[in-house]
Amino acid sequence: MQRRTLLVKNRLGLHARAAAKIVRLSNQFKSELILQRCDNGRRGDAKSILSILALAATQGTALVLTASGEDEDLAIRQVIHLIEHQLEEDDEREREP
Amino acid sequence: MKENHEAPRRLRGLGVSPGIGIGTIVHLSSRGPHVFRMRIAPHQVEEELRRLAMAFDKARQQLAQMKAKLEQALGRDHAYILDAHLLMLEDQQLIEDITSIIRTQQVNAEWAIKVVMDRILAIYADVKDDYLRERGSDIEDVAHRLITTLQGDHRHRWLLPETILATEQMLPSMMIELDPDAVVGLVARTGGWTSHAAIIARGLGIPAVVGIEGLHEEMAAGMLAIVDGHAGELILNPTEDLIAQYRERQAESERLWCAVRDRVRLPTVTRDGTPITLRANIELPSEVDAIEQYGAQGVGLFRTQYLFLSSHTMPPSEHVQFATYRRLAEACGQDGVTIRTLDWAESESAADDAEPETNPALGLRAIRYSLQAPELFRIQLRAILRAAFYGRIRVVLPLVSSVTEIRRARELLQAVARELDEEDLPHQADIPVGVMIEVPAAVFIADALAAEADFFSLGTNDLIQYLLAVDRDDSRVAHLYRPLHPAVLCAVKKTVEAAAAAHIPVEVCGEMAAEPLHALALIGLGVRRLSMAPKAIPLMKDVIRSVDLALLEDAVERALKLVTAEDVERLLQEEWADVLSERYLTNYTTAEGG
Repeated sequence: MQRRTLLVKNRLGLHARAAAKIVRLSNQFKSELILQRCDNGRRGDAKSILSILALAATQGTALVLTASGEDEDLAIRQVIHLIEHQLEEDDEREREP
Repeated sequence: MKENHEAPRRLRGLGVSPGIGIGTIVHLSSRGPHVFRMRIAPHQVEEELRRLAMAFDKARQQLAQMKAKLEQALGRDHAYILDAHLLMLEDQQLIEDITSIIRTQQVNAEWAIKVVMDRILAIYADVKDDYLRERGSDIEDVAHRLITTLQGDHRHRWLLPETILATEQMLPSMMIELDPDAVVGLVARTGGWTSHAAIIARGLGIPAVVGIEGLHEEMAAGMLAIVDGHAGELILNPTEDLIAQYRERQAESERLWCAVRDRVRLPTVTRDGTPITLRANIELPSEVDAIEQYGAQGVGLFRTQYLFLSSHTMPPSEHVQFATYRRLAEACGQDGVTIRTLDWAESESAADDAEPETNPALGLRAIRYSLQAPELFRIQLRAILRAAFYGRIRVVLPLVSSVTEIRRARELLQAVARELDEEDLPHQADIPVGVMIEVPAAVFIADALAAEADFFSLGTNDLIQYLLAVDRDDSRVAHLYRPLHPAVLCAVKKTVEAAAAAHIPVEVCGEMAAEPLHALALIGLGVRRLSMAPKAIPLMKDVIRSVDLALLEDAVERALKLVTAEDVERLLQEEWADVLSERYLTNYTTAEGG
């Protein structure tokens, strides 16, 4: 099992579009991937878009990602990279008229 | 129907639509798409899960198609949000949660979806971030899509025959979705006599009782109940004896009513020979059949807001409006139809999520709204002028409070007529344009309005509300709502006189026109045209055929000298007791039982 803490950095938080990206990526792995908020302990399955949305994670929210399964190393690295570094560009596009 | 051994319970309310309905209670939620909580039997669970799976499949297909279309039109980027929606529909967690509720609580799929989605939405309501909080609407959107898919295009088919609908508040949009053949009664915790839904209930002839305190605490879905719209009573868990009693009353009022209805072909004229025109108020185009059935001389008021509320597109397209108005005009023949332009408040159009107005009765509504939304108004006027080519149509402007409003409406009508000319579309440019007299200001400037309008339509419901500053839906002041208040009589008199001086007709289309005592007072004041729910016409005709105009005028002249509503009511009731007790009062009191 792998555990890492991460920070939601993008301005718009884990909105529908960002959550969709996370779900798509997570579903490429066999491992179970769980996101949990550090402040209130609310947990969500990273393969379920509604679970992610239900975290209601805004910019600055700290999360713990847990991965367990045969591809857990790759899974945790890629999902964290996505959340911490790749969501911001989407925000820019989202703000376009 | 559920067996029950509990004692009957009687709950008091305000009867807003007469008649007796006996059936099973179905609870209707007032917000969003209307979701019923229905208990299902254990053996129906698997069937319900199949419905759920099919709804998910169908919703996914719809979204995939929409997404393909969007991608083609706008490129991949913009279709992205639909991706999120599609993912929600593939969300195993969601499907599991809904399935579990259907299994454990034994409820219908619609309700289970609502429960799960509401849970998630509740989290969103607390989110501090505005942007993210608004994203809750994506979830709502998906929930609505699933629910509407489940309900199909014919949601009301869900209702079993002999249903009594119980709601927090009856909404007009609810009424449109309902199958009037299945619904035998309506009950609500709030609401009042003048609410639009109550008006529709009367129009459809569905008994209704509103303002029932404790309704939600006492009732349960699936309970057997009796709605008594005469007495303003809801009886829960009635005994067999009680049901038999009420069935007998139902049959009795049916017999009385049939006797009156047989006379619908006779002319409406007082005993001393003054003809009175009786027209129909209708809200749903499907009510057109009632015109012929109840012997109405055309339609005195077609309320277009229901056409708007029930439309799949907002606003309804010019073609849909044109087709509806044309059908109406053709059905009315020489008697014609009066179409009232959109009469709603902005808050109504924006539905549930609009900011509540502090004082909607005095806000942006009716003609004010139409003049501020010229595109919406233009489409309606185009449809009206085009339909007028095929029949006699009059147009009436609601809530007029100044001469400027009718002038601006006429300018728009002229502009629309020029457009239609250029487009070579068949239309009738010159149609009568009337104003509703329903604001005190309109009464005071009735002379000026009469100079510019082709006719007056007295909307007594709003006029009384504004004149007496009474909201009839507020139970603490409802008793102050007196149609025979001296101020109301005075306003009607002034309106009638202004119209007579300008040689234009006055028609009354409020509730007063349908109430025999009040209608006789109106006739005594000089009104010759009344418009009411079609069902009220046969009885009214019967009453009018039994009175002498001279006697009405004499009684009203004396009533005008009285200074309190109570004295006016007493005088007129005594004067016309013989006419009223024999026909109308008998009809009602018999139905109420002794």
